[in-house]
Amino acid sequence: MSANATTTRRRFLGGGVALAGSAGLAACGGSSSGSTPKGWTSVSFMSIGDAQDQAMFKEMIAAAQKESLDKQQIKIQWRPAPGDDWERTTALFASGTAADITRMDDDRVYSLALDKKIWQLDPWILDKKDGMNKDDYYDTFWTDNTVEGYQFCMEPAMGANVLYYNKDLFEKAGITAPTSWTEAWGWDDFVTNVKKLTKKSGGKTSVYGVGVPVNIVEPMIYGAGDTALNADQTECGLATPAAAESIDAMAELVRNGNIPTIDIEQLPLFNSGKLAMAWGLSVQEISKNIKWDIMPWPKSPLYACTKNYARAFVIPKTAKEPKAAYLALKALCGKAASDVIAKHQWAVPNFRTAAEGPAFTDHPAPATKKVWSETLSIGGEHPVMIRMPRGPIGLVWASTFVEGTLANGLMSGKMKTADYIKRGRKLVNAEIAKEKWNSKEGLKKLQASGALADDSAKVVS
Amino acid sequence: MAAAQHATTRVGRSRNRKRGAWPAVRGWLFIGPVVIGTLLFNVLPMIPTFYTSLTNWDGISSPQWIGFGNYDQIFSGGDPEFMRSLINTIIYTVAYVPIGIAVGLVLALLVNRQARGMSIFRALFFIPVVTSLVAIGMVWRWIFDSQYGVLNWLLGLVGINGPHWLGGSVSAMVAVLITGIWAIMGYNMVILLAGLQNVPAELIDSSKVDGAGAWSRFRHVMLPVLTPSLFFLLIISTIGSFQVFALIFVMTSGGPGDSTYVYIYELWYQTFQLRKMGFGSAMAVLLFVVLAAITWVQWRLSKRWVFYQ
Amino acid sequence: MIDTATAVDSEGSVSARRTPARANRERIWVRVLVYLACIVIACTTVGPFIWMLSTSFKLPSEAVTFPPQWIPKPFVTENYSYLFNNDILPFGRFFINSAYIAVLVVIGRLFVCSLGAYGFARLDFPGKNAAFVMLLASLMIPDMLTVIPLFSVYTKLHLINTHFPLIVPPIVANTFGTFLMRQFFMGIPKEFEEAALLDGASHLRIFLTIMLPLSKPALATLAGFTFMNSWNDFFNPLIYLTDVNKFTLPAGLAFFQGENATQYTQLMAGTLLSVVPTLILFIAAQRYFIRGISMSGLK
Repeated sequence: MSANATTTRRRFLGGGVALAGSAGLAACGGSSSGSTPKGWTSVSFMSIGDAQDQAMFKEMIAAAQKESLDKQQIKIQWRPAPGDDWERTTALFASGTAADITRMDDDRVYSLALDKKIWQLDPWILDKKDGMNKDDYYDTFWTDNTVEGYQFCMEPAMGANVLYYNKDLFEKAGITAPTSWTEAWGWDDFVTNVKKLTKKSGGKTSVYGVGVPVNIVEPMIYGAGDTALNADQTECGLATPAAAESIDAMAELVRNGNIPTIDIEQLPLFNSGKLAMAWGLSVQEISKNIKWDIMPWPKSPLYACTKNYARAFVIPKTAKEPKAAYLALKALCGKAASDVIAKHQWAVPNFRTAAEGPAFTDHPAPATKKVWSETLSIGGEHPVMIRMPRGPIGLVWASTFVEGTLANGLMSGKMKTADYIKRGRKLVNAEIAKEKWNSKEGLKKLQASGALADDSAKVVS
Repeated sequence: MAAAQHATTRVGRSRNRKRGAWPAVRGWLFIGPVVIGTLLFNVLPMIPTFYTSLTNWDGISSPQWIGFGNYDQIFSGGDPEFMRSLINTIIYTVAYVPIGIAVGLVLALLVNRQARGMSIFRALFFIPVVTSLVAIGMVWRWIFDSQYGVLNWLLGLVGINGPHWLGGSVSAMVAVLITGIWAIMGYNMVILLAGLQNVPAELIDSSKVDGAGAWSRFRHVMLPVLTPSLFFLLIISTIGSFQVFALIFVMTSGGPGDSTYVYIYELWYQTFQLRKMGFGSAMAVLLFVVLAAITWVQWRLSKRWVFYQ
Repeated sequence: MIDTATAVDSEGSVSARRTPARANRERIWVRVLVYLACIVIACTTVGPFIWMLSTSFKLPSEAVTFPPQWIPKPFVTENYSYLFNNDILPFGRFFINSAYIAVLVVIGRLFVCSLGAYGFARLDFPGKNAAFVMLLASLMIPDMLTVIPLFSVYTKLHLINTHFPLIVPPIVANTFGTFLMRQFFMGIPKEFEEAALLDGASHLRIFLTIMLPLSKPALATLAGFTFMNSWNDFFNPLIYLTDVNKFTLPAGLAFFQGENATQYTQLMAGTLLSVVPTLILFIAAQRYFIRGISMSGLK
């Protein structure tokens, strides 16, 4: 018994010491990975994405270093991070430890800019010596994500939303897919074909016609001639019967079993040949057994039924060497890095020659590559780029109509379109009233906040 | 006998020495590390939340004082999803806590024997507890899938046409409950198993000799001794159930519509999607009050049914 | 280590007192039912696990098919080799980080929580109930909001991107462990200590020599859960660590959840690998979970 006591006591003391020691050890030292050569400037870069994305980012960094950064003696310190959860990013920004270049959700840029947390990029871009050439890039690069017209972020590539389709199912139904956005189907043709491609057995759908993203409501609204917010942003849009009909048309297809409900994942369906058309697939994940290609989305009266999306790169105000961070960011959006993006078929690069050059086009699948790159340059009659309002109300609009329970209700066939519109509009209007918002507020707040380094420097007028 | 007399004298002497402040100091020496640690890392960081709930902070810019504005919005129905999320959470809890504990108890009673293979069964029952909730959510999402899910396929083998689990308002909640209970039952089992070890073998022996049946033995001998563990599970399960989030996030995204939209989901949405950290903090404070009330009631009631030896 | 009580199979001690034939019949019937129930339940717990195992050997594009395929066609090991051979995510390092953090947390927590539990269960002193109430209250506020203030504090103390927030708070700020041990201590009959108390033993001594050895099931339980919670902690490493070399296993596995699609096959492979250590630990700790206690040890 006494032997026990001594043993246990000794173990406890030992445990206590180990505890204190390790806590001490754990507290000291957090050295970052990689080493910057002496005399060089180090720029940290937090790339958010999954394992495949990170492989690509690693290559992008290497390409950028080789192309220009090594000569400028700038070394990128790479910090891969999974997921883009806002909790983490908020904490990082709040405590001033965000990386010198941070990749983040494009929606967040506006509020970060307004809160003086990120640098305005126009002065550097317009600089005679180290600036960027406007014509190297598609227009979307400069216009997609501005804060009241000013550049606060860069988006090296766009995730172009096209329709992936199953060639065998199309052949069986006797349907030919259009090969360019100018030949895209009209709405009625689209619905007819979707119904033709849908196969049912025993009351349940065995093959779905098309899978749509949750944010399909945005292009449907704009396509019907309506807008998210009215012209001076004092009231929620989505007020016209045409817009309601347009959304309902899509919801009807969900209710009828032509479109899988929101809880069903599209990739597995597509890979087992049970989905004729899908969106947002990743090329590497499509089964080798499926013969597939890409085609444009259909046109609703004014717009194509889709919109591109992008993730943004920003430079926090806490960056130790902002100019170096800008140069690194410029390189990450430059030719060499964009070619890497093209090679991985990760998204469509905004750098023109990369999107139109061999790196992008030299792939076995899909056959109709230009459908992708066309999404960036198609303007005029049926543009793919819908200019959703940014800013606090734009954010609330998106969160209400596209991200929350309303969207889920609509796209699971549980909520009536009229209810969806009514409840959503109520919430958005309440927010506008609370913020006393109008279209001039944003610019006023931006100028008052002192977030602009130089309010005469504007890349796009 | 002599030893006992000797003992009394010694106790008398030691009592005289260690009088006054010593019992208090000693008590605090024992609980000190835990209490100070909890204070520093759990309680103190809660205080900014109370403050933030009185502002309309968005997490980045400086907070603006709005007094009880957030609470007004909640109680005047300004957030329609708030009520829905609270009701869903209560429904979830009312099913999850009793069923989860009952299943855990059944499992514990089944494996509380030194029969051959029981240790293997104990380990097998524990596998779900050991796996991450995200992986569990994903796997069960597939299992419940109406198109290519294993469950409906199995049901089909015996001629039952399985429902569209994650697409129906009620069936989605049922699916989430099944998954949640499945994930936790091994944990409940282990806690109750540890509690069962406190049952004095003597009492079991004598009750068998008296001719008591298995049910009577359970009710009168084992159950009373289990009450501390049951109480523990009741409190922990209730508090945990009110904070369910990750599983639902992965399995149903709160859907279809808002049928599985729970309290923390709305809190997360308001705080991190709508960027209304002030409102989210108000929801957290309310949750705290509700949980504190429930726990207090459970604690008071426990004096009647929990038996410590 | 010699136990203070002898382990006795309570069932065994009884059967000798009844007529052998009748006891055997009853016992067989009960046994069969018990085994049947166990097998059915084990199928439900193991089934999904087998499914995960099967998926981890499939090609990513064959991850989910209809009808469900239990045996992967083709059978590939690339998901596992990817985990260790890719040059971006150091999985070996993730394992080591997770392991040493978990071990430290387990040792620390067993120590600190059982001490505290003894104080709450057996001692009486002013402020005890208030302190316990505070412990319970700390369970009731969701993590996601307390992170931001904590994060700022850690930043000022330069503890961001260290393992400190993953080790020290779980050890000292743990209500669950204290509560569990308290309930267990309160369930131990007081007779065991009374003799020692009469002998004038200090509470620390009683704690070390009587309470702890008697609490092996609860301690084993706490150790198991602590290890598991630390090992599976997903949220905290992602928040506090910025250098990928410091990541733990769940944080590393988060890299397989992409924006558009999840890399299921690799995620399953990684998850299974991370489940194995905890499972092994639990199986090894089995013998502490089941013991019979006989009062005869007192006499």
